[in-house]
Amino acid sequence: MLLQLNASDPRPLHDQVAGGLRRAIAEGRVRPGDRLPPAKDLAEQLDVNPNTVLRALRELRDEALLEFRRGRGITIAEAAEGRAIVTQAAADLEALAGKYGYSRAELISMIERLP
Amino acid sequence: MTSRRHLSTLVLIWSLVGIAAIVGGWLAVAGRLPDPIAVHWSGMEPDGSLSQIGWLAVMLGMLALGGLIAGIAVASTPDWGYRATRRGFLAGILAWGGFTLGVHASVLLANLDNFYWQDARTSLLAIPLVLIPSAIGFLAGWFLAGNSDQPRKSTPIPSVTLDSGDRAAWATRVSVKWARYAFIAVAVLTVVTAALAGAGFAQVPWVTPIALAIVSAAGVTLTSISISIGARGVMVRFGVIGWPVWRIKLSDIDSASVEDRQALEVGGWGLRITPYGTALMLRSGECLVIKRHRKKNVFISVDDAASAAALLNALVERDAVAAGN
Repeated sequence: MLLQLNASDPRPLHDQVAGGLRRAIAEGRVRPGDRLPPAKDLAEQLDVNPNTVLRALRELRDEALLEFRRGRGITIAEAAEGRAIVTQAAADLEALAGKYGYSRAELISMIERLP
Repeated sequence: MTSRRHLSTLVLIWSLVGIAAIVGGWLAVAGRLPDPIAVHWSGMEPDGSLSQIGWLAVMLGMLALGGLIAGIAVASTPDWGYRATRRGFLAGILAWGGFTLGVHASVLLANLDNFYWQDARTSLLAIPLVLIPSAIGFLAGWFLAGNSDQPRKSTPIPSVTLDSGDRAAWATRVSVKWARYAFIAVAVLTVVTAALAGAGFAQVPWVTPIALAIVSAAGVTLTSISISIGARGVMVRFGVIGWPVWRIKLSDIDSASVEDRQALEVGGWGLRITPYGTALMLRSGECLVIKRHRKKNVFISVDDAASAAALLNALVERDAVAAGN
């Protein structure tokens, strides 16, 4: 699993880490059931604060892409692949909407009005 | 000597030659042997006997065991394109054949022209008589394996570009589940033997649970690893608890590449330190190869080694530029 954070990317670091992990899941570079390497190691290798990585991992857990299990560490959730693609698309759509001045609520109502 | 059909034919010829030599050798001297014959000695004096037919059955059984193991090896190994695999197989089967015939010859020789098996003294000649055919078999297999490997599948390495402030990491885990379960079974055996030794069963010496504990600890440690590559170089964590840790600094690394390697080529499964390099092989196949300055190469079996090598090369290059080299 390769994670790359671009210096010119304006997003906060934890968002970039989460995005990188979503991409790795979506591209099938990690598979459901695989264990992630320790968060401490990822932070050390990315040269970021461990809390940044943990925040990204918790974000992905809330999106049901990761499972935190006592004694088994952090694993990729079942059927995470498809969900990662859609979640990333939703995040991109929200960013796009923001760029053109639409609020989150307006975006949600747009989606609800879809046929 | 690379295809499965060739090797199956070889096993068949080996079996027929072995049977012919064992039975033929016996028939040639049967009239000059006692019945039963001496088959076991302590020092030079015989202390165990077997009927001639019984001995023949033991010899043919040894041959059949070799044939069975060879047959399983041929059936279960799909790729014979590697010289190391062929060498291991051919040297093993031919050495076993040589050993069996050597034992047969030395037993027949000791019994020759004796009327009672109790008179069949052996001599020091028995030692070279067993060792020399085994060694000849081994060397024959070693050289029969041929000397050219099929060209290796070269994996193209994608390029990763890193600007000065970019951050990047690559990480993966490798584990061999069946091996881990096997070592957990050994750990259970450790506890059982320790309990038996503790309860005072004289048949179970303390050395048994201690040896088993060492084996299971080493096994559980080496059946899974976690590898990460990034700002701190290469970090390998062993075992379920992620300890010990092996680090290779970026400044020690010259370059990285990908090679297809069989575990036997680099010394076997597990952690191997050989004159060719240091290898961490949990399986055969795709390997990350790390070339170090003035140190031996490192081989680690991982999936997606191409990405790992690409990132490592980019990091090493940036590190060297930053250091002003």
